[in-house]
Amino acid sequence: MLGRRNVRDSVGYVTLGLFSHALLDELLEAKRKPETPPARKQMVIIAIESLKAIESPGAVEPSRWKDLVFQDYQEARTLRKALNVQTGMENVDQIRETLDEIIGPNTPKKKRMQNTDKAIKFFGELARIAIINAECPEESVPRGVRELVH
Amino acid sequence: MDKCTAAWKLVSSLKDMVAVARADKTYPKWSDQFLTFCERTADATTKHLQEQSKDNADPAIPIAMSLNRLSFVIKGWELLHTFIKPVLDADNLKVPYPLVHFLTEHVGELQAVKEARFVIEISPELNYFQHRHTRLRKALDYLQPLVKGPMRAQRVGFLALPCSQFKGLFMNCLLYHEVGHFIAEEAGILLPEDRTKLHNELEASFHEYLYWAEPIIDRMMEELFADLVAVKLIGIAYTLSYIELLRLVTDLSPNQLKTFDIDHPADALRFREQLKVLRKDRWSKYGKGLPHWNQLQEIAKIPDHEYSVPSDYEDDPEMSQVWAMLIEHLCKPERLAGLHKRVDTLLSDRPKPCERYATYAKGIKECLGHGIVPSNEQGGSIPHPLAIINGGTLFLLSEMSDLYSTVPKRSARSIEDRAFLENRVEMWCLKAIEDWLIIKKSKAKSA
Repeated sequence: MLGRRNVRDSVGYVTLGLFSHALLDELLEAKRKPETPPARKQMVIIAIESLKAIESPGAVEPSRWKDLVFQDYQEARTLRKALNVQTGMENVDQIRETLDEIIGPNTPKKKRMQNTDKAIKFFGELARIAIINAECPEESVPRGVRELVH
Repeated sequence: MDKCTAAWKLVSSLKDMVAVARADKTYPKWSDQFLTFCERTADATTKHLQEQSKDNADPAIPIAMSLNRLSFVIKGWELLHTFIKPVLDADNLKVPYPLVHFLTEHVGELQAVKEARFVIEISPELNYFQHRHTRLRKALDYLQPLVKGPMRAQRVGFLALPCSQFKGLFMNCLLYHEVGHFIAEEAGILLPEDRTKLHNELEASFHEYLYWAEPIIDRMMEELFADLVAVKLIGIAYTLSYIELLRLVTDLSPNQLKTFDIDHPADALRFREQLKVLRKDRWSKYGKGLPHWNQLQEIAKIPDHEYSVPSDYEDDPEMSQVWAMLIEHLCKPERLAGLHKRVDTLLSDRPKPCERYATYAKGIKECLGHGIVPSNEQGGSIPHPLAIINGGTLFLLSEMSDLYSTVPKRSARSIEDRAFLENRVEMWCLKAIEDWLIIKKSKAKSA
């Protein structure tokens, strides 16, 4: 009746959306108290570790993979889509550095506030794209992959 | 009706469904704990929805973000929805309880996944599944702080068996493949240095499409890993039940055996890797009399270059080439050897099924040949479940003539009689496993 509605097929998007909101919760809390590093930062740490794993997968212990985000196709695809000028984050390192500074013990208050706003904007957008992807049929093969054989 | 109210009704309805089922039926221990967890999460969610409704919304959160959050809370429940019904269907009368109980103890004793627990589901499909528990776990871990729900239990896997197999034993050996997926998720299929190597090799071939190719190769390797885990944990019974399932649902043609699908490697490759383990674990001695064994050896000879790309892409020359590249990467000897090594390391403390079988083989054959539950003491102990499962499987495939001579009124020529006696053999073996579990429990109590 409603077309493709098997939520298990879009579980990567659902997980990413829920993760983004759990992270946004921590960021909103950090925004209220910018003088000190955030007390709750579990999701921020997972995000930083996951972003590092994209560039250096060998640095991750095998048993840690299950706790990371952005590693499966749906999660990675959504992340790639969110990296652009409008979100203010154009590459993975930029997000990681922003999050690092938010939880850094010596980050000045102004910088922490700026970065928290920037991260809220980015992860808000990521969650927005994730819900669209979760509702729409996914591309099983990326456009352009055929060029590999030319 | 506003979205918050609709969500509230959905969650309450699921909670009621769970409560009614738990009042009517009994469930395997870990399934019951999962259902309790769902009830508590439902309570937390309804409370959260009440707080989030228009009048109580947090002004610091923009409306669009708040609505998006509500959508994901609902999506989290849409996901749980798909788990709750199959678990509710799998009450104690609908699952091969002794096997499931043994499997949980067997796997939970491995150091690599110490105290693993399994929730059992009933599937409408004639297939076995492991629902990626880490995905549900991650979703629940992120839902939990949003709705201030209860903490989930550690290391819980979800194994689904077909609704038609609730009485059986041998086909359900395939559950061990799903255990393999569980171990893959928990412990990881690659060591860090192997992952780096794979990442670099794929990057050189797939460039910016690495993000697409890497998960596909990962998925394929995980299937092979799960087969290796299954055959190492339970022995030849796994490979034989795999052949039996394939024979039931496919024509086992060479073409079908050589073809990859988008999620699974070709069966020929899967059998070839299983055969390596079976030979190493010394099953050749017991398998070689079976027609299945000869068939396995023939299948294992199919060379890599004969493997076919998934049928969805065979008419697309460009995608065929891309898939051929993926298959080539997967079949590299060092990659496959790495998988074997990883499984060997993770399961180094496993009880060896072939050794258990060898200890009790004669007694099990005698019991089953006389129509007796094979739980009589042999050399001071009763047969280990690994011996019963493998002994029963080998008996079913090659020694049923002993039983026909004991039960003269049943004829091997009648399908009905054959089915009756084969079902009996499975029931006797399940009973023997149950006896072993009871004795183990009483010994543990008295110690």
